[in-house]
Amino acid sequence: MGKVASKLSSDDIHELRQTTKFDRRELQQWYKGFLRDCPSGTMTKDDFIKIYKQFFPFGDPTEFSAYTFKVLDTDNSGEIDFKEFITALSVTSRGSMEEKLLWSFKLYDLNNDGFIDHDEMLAIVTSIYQMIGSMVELSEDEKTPELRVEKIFNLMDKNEDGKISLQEFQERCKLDPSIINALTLYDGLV
Amino acid sequence: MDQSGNALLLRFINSQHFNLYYCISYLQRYSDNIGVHHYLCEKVKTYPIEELKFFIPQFLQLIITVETDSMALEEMIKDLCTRDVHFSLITFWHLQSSLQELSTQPNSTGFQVCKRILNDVQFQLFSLSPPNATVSSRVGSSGIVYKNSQHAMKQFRENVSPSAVLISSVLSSAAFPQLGKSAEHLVRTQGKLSRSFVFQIAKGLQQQMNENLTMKNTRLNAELSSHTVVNAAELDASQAEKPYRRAKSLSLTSLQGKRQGQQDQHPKHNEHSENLDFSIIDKYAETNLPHLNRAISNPNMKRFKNKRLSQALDVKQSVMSDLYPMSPEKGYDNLTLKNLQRLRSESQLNNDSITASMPELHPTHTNSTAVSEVESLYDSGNERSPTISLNGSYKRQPIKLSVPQKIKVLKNNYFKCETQFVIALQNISIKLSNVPKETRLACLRAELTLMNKDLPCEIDVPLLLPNAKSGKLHKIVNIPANEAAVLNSAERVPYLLLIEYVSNEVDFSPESKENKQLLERLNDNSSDVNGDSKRYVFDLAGIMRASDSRRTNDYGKSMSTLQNGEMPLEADLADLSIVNLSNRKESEFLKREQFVQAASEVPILEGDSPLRQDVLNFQSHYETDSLTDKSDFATQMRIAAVMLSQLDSSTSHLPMDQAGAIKARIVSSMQSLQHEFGVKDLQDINTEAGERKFSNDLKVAGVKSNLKNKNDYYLGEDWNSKKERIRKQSPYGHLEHWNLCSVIAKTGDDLTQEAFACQLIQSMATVWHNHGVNIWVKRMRILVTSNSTGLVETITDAVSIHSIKKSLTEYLIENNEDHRGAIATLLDHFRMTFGDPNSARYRKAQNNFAISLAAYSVICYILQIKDRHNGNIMLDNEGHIIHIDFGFLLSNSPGSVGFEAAPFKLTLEYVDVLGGLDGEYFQVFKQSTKEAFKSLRRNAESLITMVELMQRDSTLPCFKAGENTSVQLRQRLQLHLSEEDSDYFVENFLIGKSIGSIYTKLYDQFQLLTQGIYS
Repeated sequence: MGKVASKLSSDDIHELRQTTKFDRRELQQWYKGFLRDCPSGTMTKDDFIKIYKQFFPFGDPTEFSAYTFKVLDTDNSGEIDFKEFITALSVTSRGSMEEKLLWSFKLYDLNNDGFIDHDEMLAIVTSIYQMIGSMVELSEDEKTPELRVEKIFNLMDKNEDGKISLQEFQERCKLDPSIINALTLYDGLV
Repeated sequence: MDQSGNALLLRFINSQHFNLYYCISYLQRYSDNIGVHHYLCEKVKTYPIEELKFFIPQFLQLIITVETDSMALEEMIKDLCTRDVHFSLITFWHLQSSLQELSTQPNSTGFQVCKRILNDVQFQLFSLSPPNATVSSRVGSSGIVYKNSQHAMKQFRENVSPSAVLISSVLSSAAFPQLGKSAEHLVRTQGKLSRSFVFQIAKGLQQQMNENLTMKNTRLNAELSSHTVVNAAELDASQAEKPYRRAKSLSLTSLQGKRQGQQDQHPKHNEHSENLDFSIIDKYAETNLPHLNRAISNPNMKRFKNKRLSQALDVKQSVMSDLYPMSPEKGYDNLTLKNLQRLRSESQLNNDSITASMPELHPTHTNSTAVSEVESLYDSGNERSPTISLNGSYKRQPIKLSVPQKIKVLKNNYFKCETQFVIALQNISIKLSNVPKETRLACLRAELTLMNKDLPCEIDVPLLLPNAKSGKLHKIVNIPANEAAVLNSAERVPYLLLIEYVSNEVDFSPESKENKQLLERLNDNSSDVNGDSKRYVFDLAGIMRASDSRRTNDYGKSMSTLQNGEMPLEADLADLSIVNLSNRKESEFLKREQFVQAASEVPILEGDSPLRQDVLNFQSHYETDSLTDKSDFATQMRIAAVMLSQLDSSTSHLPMDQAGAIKARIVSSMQSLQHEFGVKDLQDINTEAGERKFSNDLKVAGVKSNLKNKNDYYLGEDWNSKKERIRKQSPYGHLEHWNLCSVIAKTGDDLTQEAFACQLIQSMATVWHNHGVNIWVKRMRILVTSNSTGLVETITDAVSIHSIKKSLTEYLIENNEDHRGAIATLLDHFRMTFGDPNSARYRKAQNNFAISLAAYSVICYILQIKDRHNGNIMLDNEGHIIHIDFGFLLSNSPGSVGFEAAPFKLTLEYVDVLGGLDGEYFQVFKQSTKEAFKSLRRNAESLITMVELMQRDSTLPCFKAGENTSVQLRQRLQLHLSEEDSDYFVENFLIGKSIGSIYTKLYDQFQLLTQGIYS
């Protein structure tokens, strides 16, 4: 995609209408908005981190935003372009439960081996705890990242092999109302 | 950004030292950090709403002057508006005022932001549709809420940052579901950010534009202001409900077939600015148009008129270009009358719209063809109305309102009545200024009598009435016309009115009996298509009805004969609207018809000869018609007033003596009518400022005299006696929660600075109170309702020192008591009023004097309050001194700098009252002053913060020194001094320099000589 084209080409639109749940008008408007916020046409990891620092000023979001960045940067180019961005937005705001869980899984499966192991989950949870700082009141049983991870594995690791498969992940998340709530929080907003 | 620093910040925000002053200061400092900004706004919401009301001007100033990508503050304001009806009304009026002020810079961010919020608040206030926007953000996670309404489309715009956070919050659901909750509010709020229409111009350019603003322009703006935004409200309400605004305005374009040339450009402009930008131009054009009349007919504006006006449209354009110096002509050229009419009629359809300037619509067009053309257009618009009308939906299912909808309807009704009430008060002031001085009192009472017809009503006066404790609102039941008084003023016509109210009467619970009835009534009205008149209270209904307009037409014709056809726009026509009362009963209608006829006969018109006869005719008309009802007299008064102002404006066409004769007759007939309102004698009008002040004082308040014979040394009626007297007379006096409030309505002056001064004084008083400093300050409240109008709480049980001296001097001379041929002193007054200097009562008064003098001394020094002559300093019935009138503070002072060079006013008379330099109470005064000063220094930042914030881009005269204003304030606080040195500074520099200052004496003498203010 041309870096600073002011409008999406009809090819791009055609493609994105297949892969996302946005229509032509929405795509063009989002593209306009994307260019306004990222005039170069792409978002670097630093840009990304900056955004998170704005939203989570009382903690350190560096690590967490790096993890998220990796999920969004599907072609591993080190930059997020409009297509990558809008695809992720489409999934998270308009996607089905399955799609959302599939994408979430990518966040935790850091080494891409198809399983989330204990350390991977701990890394993510730790980064989230770092990011929120003291902003969120935590209950006793999840005061630390370790406790939280333990809770997650109790819920999701059905066969107790110490790792979570995609299937386990998708099945088990649906059993927890608070997770479902969080997953559907923005449905219909965008 | 240092995150660990922010952790400290977080701890501070949640500590007990944090307060709203810090909050405001930090909102400014951290405006570029969205997260902190949001957190602060959430923090603000935890404070009691009563405290937050105090800071509304600051919140709005923050929004308007501090640029930020954070939407938090905007959302916070809107949220608070939904929580409290007074909060939203005060916000609404403030925004209205700010918008007017900013309207010279329509491209500035401030204007855009202000406009946007005002639109939203108006929508909230006057729209009947369910409050989805605000409710849904709480309903939140159900998600579906949004899909159904058009409004939802606006809930999340194309913003990358909140989207990114949204994405990761969803992705991390499994690991940490709470993240969604904690980020949700921020994401939703920031998602609303819309930057595409905000374009800014360089600061320097704005400054330039400010300077280019001519007096004329300012004047016009002031005149327009009172109604402009009301119209905006009406339009916005209608526009906000239309899903496709753009389509709508485009269709408007196609309606204007006349100006082909510019038309092509219109859609372009439209597209560029998308939805609202065009409509705001329409709005201004529309509102300016009717009001120009008034502005132009003013004698001062004659030159302007001759030069520039041949017909209404031209004026409109000239004003438009004044208002929009930067906009290209094309923006408004294509606004034809028809266009305006259409907009008007469409907006009219909404039940929730309010119509202030409506009555003045017709008079704008001086030739009757224009009027009828407009008329027909109007009618056609009306006929089609039900199809688009929002009411329609209510009409069809009147009973099926849900509880929230019912509450909404009730609140709506409150907002509508409240805003109309305020406009009605403003209109009275404007009408008064158009009639001769000697008839104003009669006019005022007539107008109030008419207003009373709509009372009791579900209204109160935000801010000025004491807080209702039960969470219910007060209800105004009556405004005794006989108690109202026109205050003497050099230029304006402020007036005093007493408001009878019943406390804790009104709430918005749809279940109460009263509200059920009210709902039914409202429902009836909205289903009655022709019931326009009922929709407006306080006589704001207008001329909309065919019968009314026909009469106007007749009147218009007779007017044009009078003026030999070449009549330019005149005030009389504009004022004519007041003849058109909202009709209620057929009989009344007929009676009124007669008067209108009489009125239209008066100008008489064709020739010069039968002039007198017709006037007599008019008078006999009064006499023969047996009028019993007060409101009939009131109507007569109005008509007479119209004729008078007509005469004034047409004197050039009539021989002087004839015009004078007519005028004299009308005046005398008005004066005789005045007795019908229970007036015994007319106040002598004395042009001297001192006389004015004196008579105002006695009208407004009084101090109970200690003398056995009350008539000897009379200083007005004290508040309690007045209250009891009125209660006895009032038909509502028997009600348990009956109460009375005294208010001055002002029009023509910007009260913003006055209100800000009161706010600063109140801030200081709070500091002293919280730190246990023994000091006394009077709390004063001002409600700003636009940039040229407002209501001021009256200080009861107190009179100005000037009046005290004048009255006492006259008394002493008359009674030859201890007459030294000099002006009476304050000490004389204390002895007269509080008796034996050794009595407990006298000593109590001395102490009161000392601690209040200490407070106001520090206040006057810190805020550099000037123009401290005795007309601006009051003394209450307990001996407290009270300063009023804050036209000069911080960096502006009257005239040359030389006067009033002392830190504050401390005359030898004051010292005498305190018992001399060695007296006990002088020591009290000194000690209190020192304590007050020290306490203030310890809490200096809150005060400095307020000034720093408010001086940003401000045009208020008190910020003449710009950024230096707060710097100088800081210097005066002498923050570098130790506490000991501070005491030394107070004793030797402040008090020492002030005692018997030659400057103070000079200023008082100057005032005595030039203004007749007693020194």
